[in-house]
Amino acid sequence: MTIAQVWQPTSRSQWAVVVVSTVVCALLAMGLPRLAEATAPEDTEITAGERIELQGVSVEVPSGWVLPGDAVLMALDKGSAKFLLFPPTADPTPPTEAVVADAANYTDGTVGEAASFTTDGGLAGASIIVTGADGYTTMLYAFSDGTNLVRGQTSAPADDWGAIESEVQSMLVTVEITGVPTS
Amino acid sequence: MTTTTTEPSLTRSRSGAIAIVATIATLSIIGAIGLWQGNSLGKDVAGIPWTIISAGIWLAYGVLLVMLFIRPARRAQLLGLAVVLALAWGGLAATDFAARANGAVEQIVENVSATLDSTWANVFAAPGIEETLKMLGILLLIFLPGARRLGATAGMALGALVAASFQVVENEVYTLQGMLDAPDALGGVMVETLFLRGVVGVFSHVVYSAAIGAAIGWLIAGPRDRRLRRLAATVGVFIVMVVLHTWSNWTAHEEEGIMYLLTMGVGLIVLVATFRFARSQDPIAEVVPDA
Repeated sequence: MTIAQVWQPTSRSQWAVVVVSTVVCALLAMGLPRLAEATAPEDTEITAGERIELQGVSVEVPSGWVLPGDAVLMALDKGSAKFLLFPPTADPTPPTEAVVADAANYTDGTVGEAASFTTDGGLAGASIIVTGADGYTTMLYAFSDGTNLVRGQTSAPADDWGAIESEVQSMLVTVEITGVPTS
Repeated sequence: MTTTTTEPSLTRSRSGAIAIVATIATLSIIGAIGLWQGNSLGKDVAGIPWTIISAGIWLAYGVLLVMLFIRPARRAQLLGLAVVLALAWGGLAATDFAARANGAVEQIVENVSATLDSTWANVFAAPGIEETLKMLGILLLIFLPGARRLGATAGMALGALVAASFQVVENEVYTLQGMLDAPDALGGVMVETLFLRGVVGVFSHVVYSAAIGAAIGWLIAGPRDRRLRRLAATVGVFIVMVVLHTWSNWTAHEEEGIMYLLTMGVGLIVLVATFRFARSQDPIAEVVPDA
C-alpha cells in the first residue's frame, strides 16, 4: 500500500491527550468563572448611621445594609420606601423623592415611581420600575433585610402596565426571603 | 506496508483507550448536570409545551446535519462507541463548558470595564472557546482511536458529529431562553431562532469543526514527512475557522441582512472544500490492531 500510513496511538500519547483536554476544560469551565468572581467588586457592609460619600453625594443609610457590588448602589429608607440608586459610572442626581440611575443599559430609559410593599412574611420592601430603551422594563426591588436585593426583568411592553404589575406580583411571590431585618 | 482488517482491539494500550472513554463520559455527565441546572432546562421550562416542540425540531435538524456526513463516516469506518462519545461530548461537555466560559468572559468584561459593551465579549471570545472545546473532543476521539481508517475523512466526520450535537443543544438552549424572555410569543421566538440559528447558521459549527477535524486527521495519520509544516497548516485551519466563527457571530450581533448571505456562502464554500480535501486524502491510515 503506497498511500496509506500506519498510525497507532501509544498509551503515552493517549494519556497526554486526556491530561491536556481535562486541564483545558477545567481552565475554561472553572478557571474563567473563578477569575470573574475574583474581579467582581465586593459587596460592602455598612453600619448604622454611617454616611457614604459616593461620587460627591453624601448618603446616610440604615444599619445592616449590604450594598451590592455591581453597578447599582442601593439604599432604602424603610419608613417611606425611597430608593437611592447610584451607578458608579454615571453622574448621580442629588437625592430626591426617588432617584434612580441604573446601569448603562438603562441610561436611555425612563424611570417610574417607586412603590413600597410588604411580603407575606411581613418583610418591608420597595420597588421601582425602570423602562429601558428597548421598551421592556426592569423591576428593581429591595427588602428591608438588606440581603435580598433582587432585580428582575419583565417581558411585558412598557405601555402594558397591567401586565407589568401582574408579572411583577408573580415575581414577588417567587422571591425567597432568607434573611431577617438587622435593625 | 500492510494493513490488517480484523482485530480484537484497535489499540496497543487498553488503559489509554479506557482513560479517554472515561474522560469523555465523565466530562459529559458533568456537562449534562451543568446544562440542566444552569440553563433553565429543568423545572422552569418543563411546563412549556414548546420545549418539546423546539427540542424535536432541533433534533430533526441535527439528524439532517449528520446525514451530510454519513458517507464519509462509513468510509472512515467510525466505531459506534466513537459516534456516541462524539455526540455526548459535543452536546453535553463542550456546550456546557462553553456556556460557563462565555458567561465568565462577559462577566469579566463587565467587571473591569464600565464602558465596553459586554455582549461584544461573546462575539470575539466565544469562537475561540467553543472551537477549542469541540477540537478537544475530536482529538480525544482520534486518539481513542474512533475509526478503523484514520485520516482527514475520519477527522472530518468526527468533527461534524461533535459540532452537530453541540449545535442542536446550543440552539435549543437559545430557543428556551428566548421563550422564557417572551412567554407570550413562543411561536415567534421559535421562528426567529430557526431562521437565525438554523438557516443563517446552517454552515457554521458543523463546517468549522469538520474542517478542523479534517486537518487534525490529516496531520496525525498522514505521511510522517514535513510534520512541522503540516502542524502549522493545521493550526492555520483552526485560526481561520475561529475567524470565520467570529465573523458569523458579528453578523448575528449586528443583524446585517446581506452579511447573512455572505456568511452562509462562505460556510458552504468551506464545507465543499473540506469534503474535497478529505476525499483527496483517502485512503490514508488504517489502525493496526493488536497482534
